Amino acid sequence: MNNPLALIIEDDSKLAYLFAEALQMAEFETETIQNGRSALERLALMMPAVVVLDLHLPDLPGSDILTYIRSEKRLNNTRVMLVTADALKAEQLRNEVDLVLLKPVSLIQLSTLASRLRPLTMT
Amino acid sequence: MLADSTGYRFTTTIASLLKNIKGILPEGKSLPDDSWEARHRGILTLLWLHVIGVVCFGLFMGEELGHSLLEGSILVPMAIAAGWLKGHRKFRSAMTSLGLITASALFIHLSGGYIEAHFHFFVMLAVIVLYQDWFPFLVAIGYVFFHHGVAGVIDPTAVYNHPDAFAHPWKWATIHGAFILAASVAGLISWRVNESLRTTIELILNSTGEGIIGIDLHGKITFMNPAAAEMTGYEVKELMGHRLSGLFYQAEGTTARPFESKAWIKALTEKDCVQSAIEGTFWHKDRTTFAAEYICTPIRKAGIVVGAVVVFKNVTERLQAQAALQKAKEELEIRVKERTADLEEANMRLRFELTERQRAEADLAKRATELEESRSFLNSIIESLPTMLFTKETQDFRYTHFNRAAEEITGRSAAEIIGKNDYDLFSATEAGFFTDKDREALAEGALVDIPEQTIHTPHKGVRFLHTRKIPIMGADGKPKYLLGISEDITERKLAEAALIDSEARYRAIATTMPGTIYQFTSRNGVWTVDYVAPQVFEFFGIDPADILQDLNNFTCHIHPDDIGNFVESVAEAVENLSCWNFEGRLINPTTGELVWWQGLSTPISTTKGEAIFNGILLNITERKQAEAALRQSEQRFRQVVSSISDHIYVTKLTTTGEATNLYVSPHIAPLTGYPIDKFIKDWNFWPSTLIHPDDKAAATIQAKQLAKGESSELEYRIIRADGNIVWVRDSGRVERERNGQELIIYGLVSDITGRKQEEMILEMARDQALESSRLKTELLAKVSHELRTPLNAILGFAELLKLQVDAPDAGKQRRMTNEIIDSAHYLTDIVNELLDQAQLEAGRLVLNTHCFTPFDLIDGALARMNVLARTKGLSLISDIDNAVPPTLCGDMDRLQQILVNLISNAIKFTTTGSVQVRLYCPDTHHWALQVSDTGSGIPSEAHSYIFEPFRQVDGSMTRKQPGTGLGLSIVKQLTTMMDGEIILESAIGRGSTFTIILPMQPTEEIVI
Repeated sequence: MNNPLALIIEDDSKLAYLFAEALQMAEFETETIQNGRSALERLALMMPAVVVLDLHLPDLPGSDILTYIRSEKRLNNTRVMLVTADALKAEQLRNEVDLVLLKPVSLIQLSTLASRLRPLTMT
Repeated sequence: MLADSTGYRFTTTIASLLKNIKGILPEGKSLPDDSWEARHRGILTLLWLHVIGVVCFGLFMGEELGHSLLEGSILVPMAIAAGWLKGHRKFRSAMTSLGLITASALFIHLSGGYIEAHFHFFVMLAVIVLYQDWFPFLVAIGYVFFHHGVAGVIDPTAVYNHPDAFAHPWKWATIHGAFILAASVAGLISWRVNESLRTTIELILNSTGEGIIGIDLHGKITFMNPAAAEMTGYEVKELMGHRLSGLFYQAEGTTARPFESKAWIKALTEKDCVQSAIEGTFWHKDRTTFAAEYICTPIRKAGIVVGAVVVFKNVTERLQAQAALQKAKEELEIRVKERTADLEEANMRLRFELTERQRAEADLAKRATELEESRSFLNSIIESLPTMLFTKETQDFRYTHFNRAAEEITGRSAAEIIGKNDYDLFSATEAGFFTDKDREALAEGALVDIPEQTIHTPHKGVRFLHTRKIPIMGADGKPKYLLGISEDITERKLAEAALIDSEARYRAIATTMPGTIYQFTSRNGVWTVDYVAPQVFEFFGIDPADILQDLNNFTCHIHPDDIGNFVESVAEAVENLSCWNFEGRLINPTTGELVWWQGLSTPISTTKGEAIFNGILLNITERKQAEAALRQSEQRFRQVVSSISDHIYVTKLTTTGEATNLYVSPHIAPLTGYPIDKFIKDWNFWPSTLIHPDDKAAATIQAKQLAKGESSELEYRIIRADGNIVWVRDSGRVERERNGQELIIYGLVSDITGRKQEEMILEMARDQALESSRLKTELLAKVSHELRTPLNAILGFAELLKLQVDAPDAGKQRRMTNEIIDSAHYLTDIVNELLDQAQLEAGRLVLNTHCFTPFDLIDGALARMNVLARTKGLSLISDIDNAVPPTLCGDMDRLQQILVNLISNAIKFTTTGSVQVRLYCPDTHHWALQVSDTGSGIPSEAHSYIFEPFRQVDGSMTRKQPGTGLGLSIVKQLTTMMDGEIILESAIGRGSTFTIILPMQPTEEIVI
């Protein structure tokens, strides 16, 4: 259980499952959350190394979660991977996130990119 | 012979005896009607009492009732006949007489001849005498005679009951006859006395000249003598019973009403003495009146007043005589007065003459002193006259008198002059001229007038004199003196010379003026030309000499169209002596050109009744041409203004801020709906009333710019009179005038409403285009998202499967393969929905109609949805109503699509409970598909847009419930294509029910 923690925020259960698989391949501990509000509650209690964030969530926009992460000092080291089908929004938020991936995303690609975001100390 | 003479004597004796007897006997018929009526009433009553008396007597005597009544009834016809009012007096009295005597006979008959009953005859006879008439009396006597004398003698038993009477009927008849005779004589005597007494009174009353009228207490006339009848003109009968007051003439303004009331008569009686005579006026029958004096005396009967006697005396003649006397007296008085006045006048005249004479004497004395005074006064006047007066003796013409004015004019004193002649004083030429004139005056013996002569004076130089010389005759008729009167006219002469000079100057001016000066005179309508300046030729081409000769030589050239106005204007000026100002045309006779001219004058009238026109004639052709050009130019300008649809205004703005509209083009009326006057009168009407409140601020800024002299242009709204809003562009250009004191704003207001509307339409279209573009972008993003999500799943699971190839885990691989297939299906559904939407939008979707059973329809849909419902733990219930026909027609695939969409929607929004599908027929022409759920429900505000493409209830649901948002839109569009109707019933927390009502399509019409 020394692996760093990855929080996957994705409302589509199939994709959440797939993303979790990919992150696990990149040796992350994973936790999936399917709505924004639960995600914010969870983030208040944990410091994930990586957050895989979908922008289109049922209760609140993914950008709100991003704003929260970026405003929280505690989460300074948290890397955010934006995985979305909305190219327009993704482009707007490009500078605030560590990585932008447009759906459909290859598992291998996601896993490879995620592994690059692993904290150095942990390797 | 003897016998004859005896017979004759006897006859004459008898005749004289009869005559005497006749003289003794009463005349009869003497009762006046009223007295007769009164008596007759009493006697008739007595007769009726006898009717009752006879019946009673019969019964008393033991007769049967019937017999007694029969006896009594014998009298009844006589009593009725006597009571017949219209009957003659003689007839009626005879009837009572007959009745009463018959009653006596009946008493005798009923009593069986009682002697006592015979007394009744005598009594009745005395009663009948009361008529004072022979006829009833003789009827009674005749009856008695017959009864006693005839019946009593023939059958005494029927008349008497005495045996002696039966034996000696004649004796009894004689005895009874004697009683009758005695009773008759006594009655006749009283009748005769009564009659003679009445005759005497009547004679007195009838012969008196005064009218006597008796009245009762009601004022009704009961008696009237012939004198009274004559006075009133009525017959006595006519007035009897009428009120005397009816004859009284009530003079206007008087209130006295004599004879009127009982009270009046009563009052009369209270005065115990006879009233003094009263004057009154009464009516005559012929409606004239007469004056009368009357005295009223009460009539007393046993001390009680029963009426009054009024004695009249006609005093008309007396009054007339009095009036005549009064008139004569007045005339006499007038005559006396006149005479007295004459005397007084004569007296006064005498006194006046005396005074006059005294005054004349005093005057005479006074006049002597006055004469002296006036002589010295005359001298002083002569001395003080400004006219030179002198006298010369007629021999050597030496001066004898020389007044002060003469001294002044000649510069020589009177002392110096008197005793000298002209040769001593003036040069030989002058003195010779003067002396010649002196001689001429003497020779003529009359006045010589020398209008002008010159004298040389030592101190005043040459003077001009106007001298008159008159010889003054002595008592011998020869000239004694020569009187000279000279007037110094030097000043006048100089003035005349100056006048001539000035006239010359005036002529010079007249001839050099730019107009033609003239003087025309009208004498009784005839015009003469006194003067016309020579320029008349230069200006009008008419020779002034011709005009001087006849004014018509000028007027004949006046343009024919103007001659009428010319004549009229001149006539008016002459009549009113008003200013004459005429403009007209004339034709220059020299050049033939049309010339405009103006005549000006203020006519004056002279005492001789002339009207003098002094004035000027001007050639105004150039001015007229300029005016015409100006008018034409203005006309053109107006045409230009009216031909453009914009409104033009010209406003003057002073530095003090006062604004006035100098010009407002008529287009303002159609533009604003207000009459043009409003804008001309009130400059502020436009800015205050018309400009839209929202644009007032901008308009104020523009006004300030204009006031600063800057041109400005602004688009704003105005509110028309009808309330409509019009967009205008107001552009103003400013020019400074009067050294910058005034700003003139030239403005153009154009109606740009059309353009503004076009702009707004364009703007709206642009907004719509932008909105639709935004929606398209959103749609694209959404579609992309919806497509990418399942695609990502397919890709992800495929990659996982690939990774699993080396370490095969059959269960995991199968699950992944299923996930891939599911996602691919989901992707296919989405693509299909998008395609359907595209086809519906393009109108290219075609329905494929055929017949099917309701079960097939429901079953097919449920088969596709069962899994989904089960996974969510919901029960999916279906029900097909019995009334639904076994076969329905339509596009079953599309109907199943509708059902699937609605069911999946229901499942999507329902967490617990059930989803029900029902097929039923609301009526015979329709069938319905209904899908109900127990889900969250749809808020009412969402009902309106839920069927629009790409819409879901709100954005948040987008992610909770994946989908394109096209499902309900497609359902709606398909339903519409099938001529159906979709009804949504839903509320928050109470689930939703979608009902699709479709027309029943007859199966036979469907071509399969």
